Amino acid sequence: MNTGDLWVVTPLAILAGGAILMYLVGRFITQRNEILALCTTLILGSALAAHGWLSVQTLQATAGTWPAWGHFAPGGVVLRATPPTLLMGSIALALGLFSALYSGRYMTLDQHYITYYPLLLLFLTGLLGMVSSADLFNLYLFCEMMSIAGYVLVAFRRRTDTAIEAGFKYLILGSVGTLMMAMGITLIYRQTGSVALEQPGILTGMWGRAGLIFLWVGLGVKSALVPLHTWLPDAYGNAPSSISALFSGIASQSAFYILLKISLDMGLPPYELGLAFLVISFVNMTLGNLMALMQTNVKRLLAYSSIAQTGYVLFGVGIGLRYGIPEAIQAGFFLILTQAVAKSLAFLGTGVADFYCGTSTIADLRGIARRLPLTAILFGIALASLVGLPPLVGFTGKWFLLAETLPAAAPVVYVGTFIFLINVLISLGYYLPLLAALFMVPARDAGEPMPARIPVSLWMTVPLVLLGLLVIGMGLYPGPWWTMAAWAIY
Amino acid sequence: MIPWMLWIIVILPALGGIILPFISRHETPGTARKFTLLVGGLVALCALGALLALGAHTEPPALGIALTWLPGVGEIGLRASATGLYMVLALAAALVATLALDKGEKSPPPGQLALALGALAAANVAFLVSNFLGRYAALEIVALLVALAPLLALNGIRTAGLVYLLLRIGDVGFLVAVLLLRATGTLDIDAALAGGSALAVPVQMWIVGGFLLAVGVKVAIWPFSWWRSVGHQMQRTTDSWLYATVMPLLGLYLLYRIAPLLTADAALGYLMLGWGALGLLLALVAIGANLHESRRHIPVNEIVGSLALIVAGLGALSWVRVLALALAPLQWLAAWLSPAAAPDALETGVLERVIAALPQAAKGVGCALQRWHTGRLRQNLLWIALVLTLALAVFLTL
Repeated sequence: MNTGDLWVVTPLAILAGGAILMYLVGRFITQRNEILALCTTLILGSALAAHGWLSVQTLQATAGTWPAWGHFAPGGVVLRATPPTLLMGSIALALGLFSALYSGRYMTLDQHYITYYPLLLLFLTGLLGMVSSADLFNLYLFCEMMSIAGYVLVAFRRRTDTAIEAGFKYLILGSVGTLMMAMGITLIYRQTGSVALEQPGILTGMWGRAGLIFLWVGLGVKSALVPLHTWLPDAYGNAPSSISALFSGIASQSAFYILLKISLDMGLPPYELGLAFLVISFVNMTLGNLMALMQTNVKRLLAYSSIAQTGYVLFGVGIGLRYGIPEAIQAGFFLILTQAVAKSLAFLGTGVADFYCGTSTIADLRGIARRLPLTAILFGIALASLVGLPPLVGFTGKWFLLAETLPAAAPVVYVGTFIFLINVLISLGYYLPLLAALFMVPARDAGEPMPARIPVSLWMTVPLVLLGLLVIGMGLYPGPWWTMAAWAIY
Repeated sequence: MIPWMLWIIVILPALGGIILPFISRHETPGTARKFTLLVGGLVALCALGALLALGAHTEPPALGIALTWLPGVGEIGLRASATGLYMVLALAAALVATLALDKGEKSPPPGQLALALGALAAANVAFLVSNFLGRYAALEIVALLVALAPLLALNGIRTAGLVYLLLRIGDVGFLVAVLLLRATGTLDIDAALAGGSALAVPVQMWIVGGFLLAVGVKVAIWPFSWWRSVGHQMQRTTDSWLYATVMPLLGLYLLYRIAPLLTADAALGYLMLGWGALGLLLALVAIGANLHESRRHIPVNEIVGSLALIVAGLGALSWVRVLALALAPLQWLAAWLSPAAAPDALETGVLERVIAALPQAAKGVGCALQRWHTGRLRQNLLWIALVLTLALAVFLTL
């Protein structure tokens, strides 16, 4: 029996129906990439609008009366709209919109792009469903949907061996993660007879504790927490840049959000949970930055820096949980927002350089500003933001993180702050050469003329410019976005 | 009138840096240099005019436009202070003087001149802004531009990266200090410094420690002096101006502005004294060891910075502590020579008279330093210091 507020399921229905529709359109009506991209963008725009209306309804409601949909006997409500889910969903849909628009030109040279758009929509359906799920069973289903679409998207450029390898690696490790999740849910169901998300008494039984551990491992793989992160650099590095942008912006962050939600709903004490997150954050930050230093491929470099950025998020959330500082958790989610914008811009900028000039390494990017000036400037803005240069959004995120965690005034906070600042300095070691390479004089033989400027398609320029404006605007005027990040602490 | 001048001081060089590469594209190479000279000259004149117009103002007039950027940091705006305008004047005058006196065959490329104008704009903001967060943002931009100079001049990515890393270490210290100062409830510089004195002493020490790290890096005192040598590998006067004038003046001004916090604990005074003495010693050794005359001027900045730290350390310590520190070796020597007679040895003859006179002399120095800190000497010394700073800035650049 399905009951409740239909607006909860409307964005999902638009996305799922849109995926089927796009497959039929691509198969039987037209195979022009621009039209498919435009239709996908319209579908995502509609889903975003519905999601926006749902957000308005939800934020006006009180905590116990948030809109819900569906009824599932062993668990309860199927989907529930809460402020944190709205935050993650908004980021996902917005990034999906930019990716779809960007793909209008970017995917033109790929042979099988008619399957690309349905997969993109299915991926977002799974992601949105996963964050909106109110019971473990549906969470698992949507997570699996998201993962399967993700495996195919990572290996989409199957004409290259590295893409196949990356997709296969993601498939194996992702499947292990999903299997762990299924095992965990089974063990929890064995103890309690319920698959509801909120089961605070679960830790009293052996099966419940074991189930929670399995869930942690499974979601840890999805979140790319060290040492379960090994799939990420290959996946982000070999996927189409539009997909890398989407993945880096929201995919692993959504899984982390689910991990946090389940841990708290299952009764894990915030104090201990915060400590666990802190330890993981130090490892993530340090390993991510050190590995990024060794990379020569730009996308792999950005992928490892995503691992480090996850560490920064975990640091804020960990401090907030351990010392009872909601603003620190808010700062962590604000970092998710800032990373989504800046990292997506960086990946999309890399994609433009790869599409028009065939460049994929830092050395190849030298002097790219001569040929692609606007792209280089916007890419530079993204890198400057990731470096933490004021007044861009990257600095604002780091400021909020430090400003809200330091008041805890505990030794572990000071140690963590020191580790954080050291890692920010380490990250200069790979961001700055990349930033500098963009604007250096390109290497050329004596007598060879300077390379000519290349006009970039509007399909790719518009998302880049919009993201660039967001990086600058969110940094200069962070108030509304800081308020949006507060949705995470409801 | 002053607000208009402040606008020109900040916006003119920023706009100039942005449009310079475009206007010089189709002009002769000397056009960019003349444009930079014009902008620098206008900035210097505005700074001088604002300084003179500041005159008998009891409180520095604000710009009238204040921005609220991040919550909890207060408003960010420009404030006309005598010392800040003074630094702006010194900086702009040094840029004009070095470009005018540059007898090189080729004019600096437009890119490097644009970099210099951008650094001038950001440094001016750092001197005049009323909020620590605004100053931090300006200092970060200056650091980036200074680090980009070797990229344009030497095509050296690695060198630029290392310079930026070192400068960023200083800015991290500044950031930590500013974050801790948030406990005062505002980051308005005057209010935060006044409130900072009321914070717990350990917190004050961390704050001053962070600021001193920033000062040490900017003024290039050992062990943070490596980045300065990069400036001497680059041949352009604008690069020398960036490395020898902009950063050291920013560092010295920061040290001056945080003076109210320097007396938090005697340990800070000893730290500054010790660090300054060590830096001075190493700089003098470097001068002596450098046989090539052309390289002897390299440690000059380090000497200036070290002397500044020594003066600050002396000012932070009371005359009693300075005296005790100075007399400690004598007492140890006396005790070693004659353990039983040590106390008596200090009371006879010439030594007795010298020691009796020392407290009066030290008291006089201490009073003078205290008056310098509270600014009562500022007005009287303003014109003398102005000339000295201008001369020093030009000397350092050349």
